[in-house]
Amino acid sequence: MTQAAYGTQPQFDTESQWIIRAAKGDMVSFRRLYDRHVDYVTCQVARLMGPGYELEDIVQEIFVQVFRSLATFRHECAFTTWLYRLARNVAIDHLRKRSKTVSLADWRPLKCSSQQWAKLEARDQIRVLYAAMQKFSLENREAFILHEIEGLKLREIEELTGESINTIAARVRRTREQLRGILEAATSEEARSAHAWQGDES
Amino acid sequence: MRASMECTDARELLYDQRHDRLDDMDLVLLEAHLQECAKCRDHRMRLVGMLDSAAHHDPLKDVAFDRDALFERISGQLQAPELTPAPVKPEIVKKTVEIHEEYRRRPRYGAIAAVLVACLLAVLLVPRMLDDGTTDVPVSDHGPAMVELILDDDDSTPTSPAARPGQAFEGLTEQAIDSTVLSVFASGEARWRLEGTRDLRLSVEKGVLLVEYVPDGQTSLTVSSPTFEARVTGTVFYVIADEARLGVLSGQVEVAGRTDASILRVGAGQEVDRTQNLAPISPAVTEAATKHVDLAAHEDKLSSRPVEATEPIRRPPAKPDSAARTTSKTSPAPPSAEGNNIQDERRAALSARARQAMADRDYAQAARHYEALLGELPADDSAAMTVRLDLARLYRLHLGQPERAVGHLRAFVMSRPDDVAAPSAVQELCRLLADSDKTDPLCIGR
Repeated sequence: MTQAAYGTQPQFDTESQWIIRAAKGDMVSFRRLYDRHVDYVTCQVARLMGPGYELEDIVQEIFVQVFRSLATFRHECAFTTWLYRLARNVAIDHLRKRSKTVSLADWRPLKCSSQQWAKLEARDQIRVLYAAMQKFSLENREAFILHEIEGLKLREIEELTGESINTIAARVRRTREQLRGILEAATSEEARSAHAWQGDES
Repeated sequence: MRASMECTDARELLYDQRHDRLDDMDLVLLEAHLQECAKCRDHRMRLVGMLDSAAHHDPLKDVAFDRDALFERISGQLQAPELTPAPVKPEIVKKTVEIHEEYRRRPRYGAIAAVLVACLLAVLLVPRMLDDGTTDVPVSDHGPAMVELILDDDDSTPTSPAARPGQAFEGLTEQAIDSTVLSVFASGEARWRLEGTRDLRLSVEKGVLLVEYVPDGQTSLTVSSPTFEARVTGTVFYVIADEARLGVLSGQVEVAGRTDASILRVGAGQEVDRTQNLAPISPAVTEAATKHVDLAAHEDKLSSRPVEATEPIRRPPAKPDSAARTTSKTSPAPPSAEGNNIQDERRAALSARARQAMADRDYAQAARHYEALLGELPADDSAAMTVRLDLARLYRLHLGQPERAVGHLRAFVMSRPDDVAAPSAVQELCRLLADSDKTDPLCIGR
């Protein structure tokens, strides 16, 4: 849609003005905010939740809450920061209510041999990663994703989440240790299987 | 030639390597280790493969929904009238208040006792199922926590499931106790007492207790009730028993019977029920319990336990550098299994605190923790050598104390002349000495 179609004046087309107007119920301004941020929100939620979730309903719920909460936005942080926190709260709430059951198919690639692993498609590797992350607490998982996958620095995560940098660092560290344990357990199992297989051969 | 780096350290560094955050020395050490260690190479392939795949993946490619249509639905939802509760008749309110008041006045010992019994039963049943009749008491030397259960023979305890998950934790209040390692949350009807200063004994006669225990390496905790006794050793854990289950909210707990050699390991977020099935803790239970105990704050407490403040650091008997030669030549007595556990715990805590300080860029603090850790390790331990390299890097790059870096580099080279990192260490040592117009026999010919 064009600006004319929205009926707004160019000089008011700043995000702050959109926020103020949308907070007063202006759906045109809200649509502009939606258009600007829907991909960001979808991307963040998808990263946090992982494959296998219907994101559409969650994104819908987030933007409904955005509209209803805009009046509480005090411009004390970036709008994207406020948006992120709201989105992650909705996503985490959703994850708590409907935790995904990890299927054996999700785990199986982790136990394959090195040669087989090298041939895995990226999406299968991602499935394995998120299957492993089901074992992490949601807070740890969020910190890990932001740091290791999004590539944010601890200070940036601190600003985004409002958590202290020490807490974030501890969460990242714990999650690394957990993931290492999962990988080690899987590979040792794989080694045992290979050994048993070799024994069968002989 | 041997790799100077432990697999655990190498696997930790893989994350930094992936982000190009390793300095030259660590990179050399890591690559050398990877060259020799097939398992770590495989670990790197899997880890980096997963993380890179996730990082490079554009989640929007998988999103199939129509954004315009979605906005239409959002608009529709926003414009629809919100459901509001129907007005409640005043007489219904009055009746509700009366019922509530009556409920408040009525003693709830029965309900609370039933919950407690259910809690205790969970603790009772697990080791009983594990009992194979042997007499050895298993002691974990690697698990972070241990619950050892000593049972009586009374199995007539009735069971009564709580009405809903988390209900047992409602109405708990934190109790004022004189302990720095223990926090106790108790129901109003609970009857309990805490005795001892180092050997803490928590006796529960009635009610529901939620306990947070952050040991400092000098205390032990025994929890007892009319029907069981649990001795808590090792590191830190929560035990949340609810609906005949034993649940762990943080850390890891190993549950063993009095006469049983097998161990049931219960991880964070898991419950074990009377049929020995491990299951995830219900979110309602977690939510109810974490209203009293903040898990993140708890783990922060763990990582900042005042270990060296309460325990003198025991220096190893022999060191290759001159500083070590001035220490006592008397070897300490071989530590007991429990002593080993405490020592491992102390080392792990120091290592964690050093890493945390590094993450916080508090390099002076990191150096203090690494120095303390070095004091805890045997002089010829390979981990001590890694710590020396860490310290050398800290003093050289972050703290501007090259003379200290030289000391650690020299100690490393003297102790591990054949190590794969030794040539780099010698080179660095000689460069630092040359900068201050000094020399060393190790640098002759360079």
